[in-house]
Amino acid sequence: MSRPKSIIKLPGTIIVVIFLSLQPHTACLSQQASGVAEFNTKISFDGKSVTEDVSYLIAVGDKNYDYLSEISIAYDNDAKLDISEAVVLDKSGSVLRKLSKKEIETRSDISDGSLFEDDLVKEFTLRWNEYPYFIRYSYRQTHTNFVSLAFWSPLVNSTTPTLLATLSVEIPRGTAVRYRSRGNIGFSADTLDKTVALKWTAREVTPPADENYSPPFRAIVPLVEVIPYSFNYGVTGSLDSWASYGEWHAKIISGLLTLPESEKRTIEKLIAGATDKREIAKRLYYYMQDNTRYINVAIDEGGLIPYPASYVCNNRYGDCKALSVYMMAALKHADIESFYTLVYAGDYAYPVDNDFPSPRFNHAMLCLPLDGDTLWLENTSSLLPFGYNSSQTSGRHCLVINGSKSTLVYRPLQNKEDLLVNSLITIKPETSGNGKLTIRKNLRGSDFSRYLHVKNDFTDAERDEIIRDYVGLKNEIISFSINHSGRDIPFLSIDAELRVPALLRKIGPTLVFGFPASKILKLEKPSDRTLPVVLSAPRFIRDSILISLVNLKDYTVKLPPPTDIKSDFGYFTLKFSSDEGQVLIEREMLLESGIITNEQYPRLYDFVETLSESLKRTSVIFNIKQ
Amino acid sequence: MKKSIACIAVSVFLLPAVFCQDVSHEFGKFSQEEIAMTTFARDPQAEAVVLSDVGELKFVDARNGYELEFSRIKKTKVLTRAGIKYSEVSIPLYTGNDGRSESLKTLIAKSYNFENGVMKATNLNPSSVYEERLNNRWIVKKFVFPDVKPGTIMEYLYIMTSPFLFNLPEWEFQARIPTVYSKYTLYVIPFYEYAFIAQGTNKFDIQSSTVDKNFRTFGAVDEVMGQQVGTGVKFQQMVHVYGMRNVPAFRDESYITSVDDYIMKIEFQLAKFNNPYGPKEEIMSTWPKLIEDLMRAEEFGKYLRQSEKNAEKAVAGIKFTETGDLAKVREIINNVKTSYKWDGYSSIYASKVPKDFAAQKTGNSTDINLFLIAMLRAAGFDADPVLSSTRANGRISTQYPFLHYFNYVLALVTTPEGKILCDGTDIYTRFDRIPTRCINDRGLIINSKGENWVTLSSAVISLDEKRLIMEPDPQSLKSKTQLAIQATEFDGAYYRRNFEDDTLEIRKFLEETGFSQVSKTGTFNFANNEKSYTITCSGETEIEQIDNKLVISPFLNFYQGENKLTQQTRTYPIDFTYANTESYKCNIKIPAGYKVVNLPENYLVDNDIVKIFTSYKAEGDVLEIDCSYGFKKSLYQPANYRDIKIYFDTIVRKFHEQVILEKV
Repeated sequence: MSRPKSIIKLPGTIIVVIFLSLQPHTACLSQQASGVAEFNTKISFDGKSVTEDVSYLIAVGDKNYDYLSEISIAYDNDAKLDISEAVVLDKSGSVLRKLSKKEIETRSDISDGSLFEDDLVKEFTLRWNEYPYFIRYSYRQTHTNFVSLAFWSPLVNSTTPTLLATLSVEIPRGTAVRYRSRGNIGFSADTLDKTVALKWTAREVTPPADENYSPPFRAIVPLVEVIPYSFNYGVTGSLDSWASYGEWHAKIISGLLTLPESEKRTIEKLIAGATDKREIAKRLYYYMQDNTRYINVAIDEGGLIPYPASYVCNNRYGDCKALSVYMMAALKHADIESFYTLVYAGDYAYPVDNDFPSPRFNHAMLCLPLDGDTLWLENTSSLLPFGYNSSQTSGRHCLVINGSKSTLVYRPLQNKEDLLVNSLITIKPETSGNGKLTIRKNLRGSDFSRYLHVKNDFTDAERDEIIRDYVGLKNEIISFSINHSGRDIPFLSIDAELRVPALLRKIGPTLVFGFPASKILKLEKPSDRTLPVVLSAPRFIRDSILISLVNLKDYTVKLPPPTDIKSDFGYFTLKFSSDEGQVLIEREMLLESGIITNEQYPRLYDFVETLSESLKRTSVIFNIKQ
Repeated sequence: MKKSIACIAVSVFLLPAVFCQDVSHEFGKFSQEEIAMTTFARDPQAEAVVLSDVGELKFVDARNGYELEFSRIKKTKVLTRAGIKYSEVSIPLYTGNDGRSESLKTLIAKSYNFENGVMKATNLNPSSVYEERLNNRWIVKKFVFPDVKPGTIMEYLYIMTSPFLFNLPEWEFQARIPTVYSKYTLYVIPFYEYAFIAQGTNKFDIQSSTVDKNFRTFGAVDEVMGQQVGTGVKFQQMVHVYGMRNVPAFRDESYITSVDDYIMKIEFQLAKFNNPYGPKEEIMSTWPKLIEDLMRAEEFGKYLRQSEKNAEKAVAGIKFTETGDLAKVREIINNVKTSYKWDGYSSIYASKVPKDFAAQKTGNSTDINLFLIAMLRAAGFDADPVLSSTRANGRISTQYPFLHYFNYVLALVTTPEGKILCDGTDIYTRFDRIPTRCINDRGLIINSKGENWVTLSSAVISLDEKRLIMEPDPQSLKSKTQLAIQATEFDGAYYRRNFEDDTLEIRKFLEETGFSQVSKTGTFNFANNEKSYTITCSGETEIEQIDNKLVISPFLNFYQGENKLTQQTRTYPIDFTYANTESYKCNIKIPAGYKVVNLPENYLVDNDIVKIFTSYKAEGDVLEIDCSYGFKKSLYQPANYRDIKIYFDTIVRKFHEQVILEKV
């Protein structure tokens, strides 16, 4: 699956607060309990800088939780990090040992898929060999670059429970902030002489269950967000509204659109003779695809502020922001207006609240209104067709940057026809059951993006291995090819010919063609399920399977009855027919996208189980004539 | 002074005779052939090709003597989009304990594109070279060539300086893509003598050793009336050249220890120091000398000696529950395994002083195992370190004492029952076994008794036994299934390590291997690594219905669905790490009104390579299935490859057979 590849780094907002006494909290933990006993975060904002004081008390009840003793503290390159305390305690609270400076390892904090990021992480291990033991540590970070004040959860990860967590945010009186929380978190606000202290408290928080197709961790855990109306990130800006936030981006981008003269000449040559704007835009888009590539480098404010278009011209690479700015500059030079657009890309479409502007995007692209239509340009892909609608960035709100008119726009999800995967499979089994299989599979949607990448960017040996996995049969591949008939075409086909043993299963003299036992969704029983199910894109499949048995005239064919299963979540049909020595099976399945609530879940489960049971009993049987 | 360098070939792989292509080795110069190339004729599948890779090493004057200056010019042509990944370059630089470090003096990189006969060069912007910090010892200088696409020639030159004279930079002639020309030239001053080992070849296409025409001086030297005067020395360097042409790409094969074991390369180690003002000093010319130096080293022998006091205290703190020497050894080893945590790093040197290790309870493999040895000695046992190399680190050569082949230290303890190899880092392995990552050829015993080796392979056969009872229900098309997995030795350690007794992880595993529903799981002996580890579960598995027949897969998905040995031939040994037997017993209760039809045939092959056994017996209303397979040894030579490939085909087939029940 091809996924827009840039991460827009957000400045750190995590902090832990000065740690409190051990006693009351260790008393709450039994001998074997492990987790975060206490986690306190204090954020002090003076209008210009943000200071975070953080403290942890961690309980390690047995050796299975020793991993909790491996501490990592991520921090921005421009932040001053000061670890004020790190000790191991026994159950009575006595210090067993203190961390020494030489035990701390510092390394670069570079996310997967990035060439380089200048953030750092300090790591150390504070372990003991008698249980329980406790780890207490605290640190302070100060930032002068900030966009939000807090994006805080009482849970530190998806597996560790927290007994007590507090967040307090202290701001000067009169500072405008916006805040919200989710989950069972208590709140109080105190107005002091010159400051206002906002405080959130959470107790006995357990991580959500790990269930299939559930929303991601960040979407369901208790959470607090505190956003200042004014922020400073290299340049001051406003989160008073989506429009003001967009205006900040617009101000920055306006200074980045200058192209070198040579690039301008190249563009002019490229579009010479074209008058249709769509055609011009397409030429420029394909030129960018052929002559640049995605490489993510984030330094200083590089998490939010793009590199200029000239950077891409010189290096011929950039991240999503730089490539979008470059494309925007190229279009601008061709007198075509486009809009830098921010989105949260990924499988899950995090909801964007119209009344709560916040910097929660991780990807940049372009919005291109043309002839009454709106195209969206994914600039990190060197292969996708012009204007391709990717499921990673559709079905969600995006922020289209247009100065003071910046606004949230909903980008619709692809419809089922856009995602249809259809196959024609011809099976030529011999009487042994072995035989040849040819398949032509037309791929759309995420499979299309993925296999476009496989076709172009992998070695022959790598492609061979991937195709073997994909066709689902680990057999001798006689030939295969991935065909994409034109770069504008939003689907491709895989053609493969395979030699397959047991194409039809031989059971005595009988030959059997059956269906794989795998379920379309692996679901927990309704009684075991606690979280909603998220299906981010529809699945739409249509197959024709033609069985041409050698010497079919020597066999009687027993066809099963057709299958027709419908539900609120989709449908599945199977039809069988036999004619002139061939058996034709036509299969169609649609699974709709959406969020299935706990109330709806049992019906989804029934649909999947009914389908699975039905397929287990469905086979085409070839009995040899007596 | 003319000095020779000892040359020891480690492995013997003859290369076919090849011809030199027309390539240019100077920076910025290209041949027509290089420019015009769209595929590489010798390897049409290659996504990129190294056109030229030329390295030079010199000893340059430095403040406190000499330092190394290593330069490299490398030219690579991108042939397809898949080759664009070679545009990302990383240059690692090391910092020693004493703060001395390697540094990058010069870096120039250019991309060349040729369009319509015109060459366009794009320079790497120096501000686009980034420094990634891996840890407190290593940084990596990283960059990406600009403007790269199929057809681009990428070329870079860098000069690195290093104060570490002990190990000269090694040179790899082979890469994952073909290499047309690779050459390494060393200008060695006579004060240092190095031994080298060549791997992957026993003959270089280019090899020479000559005396440099130019003279250099060490110290104050003047010439007065044709005579040399002064306290210094005038000398000539030796120029050693090693080169290869048309080196094929290295492509992975399954069941090998490490790519490093087979890739074509040359490595060097300091053997002798010829002090211009004093006697010659043998550095590492013999194994006994290597052992002696280690026993004196701060982070090895000295660490071991300094661990004595803390070790005595630690032994005194153990409440021994059994009597007898073997029991005592067991308890000491298990005490170390549970009291100290391995940080995941392997080295032959300790990473901290013993006092810090004892306080911090965590360390690298040598911190832990040297401390273990100190504890065993404190308890009165004869125990010694064993220098070894993990599988991922590659094989060692016993022909010459090259220290950097080694990356691990084990412990060897003598008991009345015999010598035991042991390790304190892995809580899942028995006290008298070493972790599977350490099972690699042999190790060198470090004591005062000279050069002695100990085999690290294990003759122990591990067992992974699965027992199932299935009760199929024709109505629901599900079987009530009970499973017990019993795993011993290294297989037991594997399950313990993979699941860590986590019920959720075990359930996930069971669902992946064919259970459609798991209702109960249990485990036994997780904490006791000397006993077999047992996982039990009950749940449901699926049955298929075809007409009036039921089709049952008794093996579920426990066994690999394909033969991983895909190559037609193989030049590397087949290494399974340890010998094991997979055993599978399944009893299927035949439902009323059904009978078994078309049972798979029984099968037996039992020779000195493998035993494969399958048996199907229907007795009354129970079908008993008893199957097993096991390779007799852990290591086979390439000559056995064809047979082993066929045996794996048989195993895949036999362990996926199905049982058919027909309605009576």
